[in-house]
Amino acid sequence: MADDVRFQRPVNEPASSGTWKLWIAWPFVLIPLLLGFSQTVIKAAAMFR
Amino acid sequence: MALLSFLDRDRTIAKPGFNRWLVPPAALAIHLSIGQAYAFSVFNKPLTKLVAVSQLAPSDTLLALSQSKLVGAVTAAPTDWSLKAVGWTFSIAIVFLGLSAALFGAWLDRVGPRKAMFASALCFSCGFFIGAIGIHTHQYWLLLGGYGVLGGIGLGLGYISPVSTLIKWFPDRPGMATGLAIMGFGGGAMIAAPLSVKLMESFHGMNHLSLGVTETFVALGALYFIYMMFGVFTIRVPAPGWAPAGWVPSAHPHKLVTSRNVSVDNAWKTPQFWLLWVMLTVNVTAGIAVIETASPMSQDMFPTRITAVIAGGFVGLLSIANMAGRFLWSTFSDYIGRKGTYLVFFTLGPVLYFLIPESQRLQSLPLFVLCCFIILSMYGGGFATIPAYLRDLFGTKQVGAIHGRILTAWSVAGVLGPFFINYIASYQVKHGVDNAHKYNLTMYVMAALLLIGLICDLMVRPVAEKYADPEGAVDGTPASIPSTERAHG
Repeated sequence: MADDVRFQRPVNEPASSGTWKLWIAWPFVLIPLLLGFSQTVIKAAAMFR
Repeated sequence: MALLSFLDRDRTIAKPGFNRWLVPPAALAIHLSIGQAYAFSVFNKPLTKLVAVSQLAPSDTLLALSQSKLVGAVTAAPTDWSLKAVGWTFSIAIVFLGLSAALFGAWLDRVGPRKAMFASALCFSCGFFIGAIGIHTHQYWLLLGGYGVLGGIGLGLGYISPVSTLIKWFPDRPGMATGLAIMGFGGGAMIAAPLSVKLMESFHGMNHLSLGVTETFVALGALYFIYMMFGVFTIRVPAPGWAPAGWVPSAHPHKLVTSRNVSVDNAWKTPQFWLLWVMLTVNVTAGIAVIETASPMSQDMFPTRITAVIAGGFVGLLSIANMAGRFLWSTFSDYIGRKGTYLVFFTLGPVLYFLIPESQRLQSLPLFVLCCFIILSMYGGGFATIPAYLRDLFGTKQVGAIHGRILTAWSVAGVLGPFFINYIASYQVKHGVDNAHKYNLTMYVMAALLLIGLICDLMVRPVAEKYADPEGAVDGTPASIPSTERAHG
C-alpha cells in the first residue's frame, strides 16, 4: 500500500526574507475564499434546520 | 517583444532567500479565478430570457421586480436561446480546457509558468468580453466562441500552469502543494456564484430593461484579469538544483517513485500513462453522476424532507466536499502514497455508491448526505492527486506537459459522462421505475466503473527504464542537487 511514499518533513526551514509578503499574499487569496465558503455554508445549513 | 520580457522564464527564477510559501497563493489566485467555470450555471436561466425581457415595455410592472424574480416571472421568447444551447457553453469550455492543456503543456514547460499564466488571464478575460458582445448582440456563436472556446483555452492554460512549478518547489510535499492550488479550482465557484448574482442584481437595478448579464460578463472579465495578474507577478520558479533547506531525499526511494525523467512524448507510450488516464476518467465520470443528479436525486429520494431550496443547500455542501477533498486527499497521499490513495477511492467508492440506494430504502438522510459528501471529496481528490502521481512515475521535468495530456480524460468524462448518466436514467423511467428508484442503476453502474479503476491502479508498476531520458536524475534527487544550492526554504 505505502510502497510509493516519498514524504519526509524538512527540518528547521529557516525564515526567509520577505516574510511580510506572505502577510499580503495569503489574505489576498484566503479572504475571498472564506467569504465564498461562508455563503455556501449558510446555504447548506438549510438542510439541517 | 521587450515590453513583455518580464514574462520570460529566466526573469522568474527565484533569488536566494525567496520564500516558497509565496508560490501557493500565486497558484491559488489563478485557480480561484478559473474555478468560476463551475459557477456558469448561475447564468443559465437569465441567458434563456434575454429577448423576452428586452421586449417588455418600459412601463411594464414586471420590471420593478428584482433580477432573479424577473427571470422567474418572464416567459422565454421563441427566439431566446434554449437551456440546452446555453448548457453547451460550459461543456465546450471543459472540452477546450482538456484540449488546450494537452496541446500547450509542452510549451508551458518550455516558457515557464508566468508566460502561461499571463496567456491564461488574457484568454479567460477576453472570453468574457467576447461572450459579453455575443450576449449583447444575441449571437450564440460569439458566446460559444468567446466563453466556450477562448475562455476554455484560458482554463486549460491556467489549470496546468502552476502545478509543475509547485511540484518543483515542494519536492517534500508534492501532494499537499498541488492540492492547495487545485483546491482553488473547486473553491472558485463558491466566490463566483454569489458574486455573479450580486453583480446581475446591481446592473439590473441600474437598467430595468436589462438582466445585467452583459455587464456582469464585462465586470468579471476585468476583475479576473486583475486578480490573475497577482499570480502572474508573484510566481517564481526555483533555481536549477534547488531543494528545501534540511530536506534530504530518501536514500531508498520507493519503487514507484522514479529518479529519472520521462519526456512527454515517451510518457504517451507507457502503459502507466493510459492506466492513469482510465483511472481519472472513471473517477470523474462517477463524480459527475452525483454532481449532475444531486439536486433532483435528493428531492426524489426524500420527497417529504428535501425541498428545492434545501436541495440548493445540499449542492453547496457538495461543493465544499469537492474543494476540501482536493486538499485533504492529496495531502494524505504524501503519507500513504498515490497508489494507496487511489486504492482508497476505488475500494471505498463502490461501497458508497451501493449505500446510496440503501439510504433511500432506510430513509436515512444522514447516510445519504455522508455518502455523497465522501464521494465528492474523492472526486476532487482524484484531480488533486494525479499531478503528484505523474511526478512519481515520470519525474518533474515535463510533468506539466504530461499533466496537460492526461486532462483529456476530463474532457471525455465531462462530455460522455452526462450523456451516459442521462441515458441510464431515461432507460429506467421508460421501464416504469418510479422517481425514488430511478437513480439506483446509475449508482450501481458507477460502482462497477470504479472497480475498473481499481484494477488499473493495481496494475500500475514503475515505468520501464527504456522510456527515461538519458541525461540523468530528476530535480530533487541526490544526484541532481549540489550541496551549495540547498539553502533556502
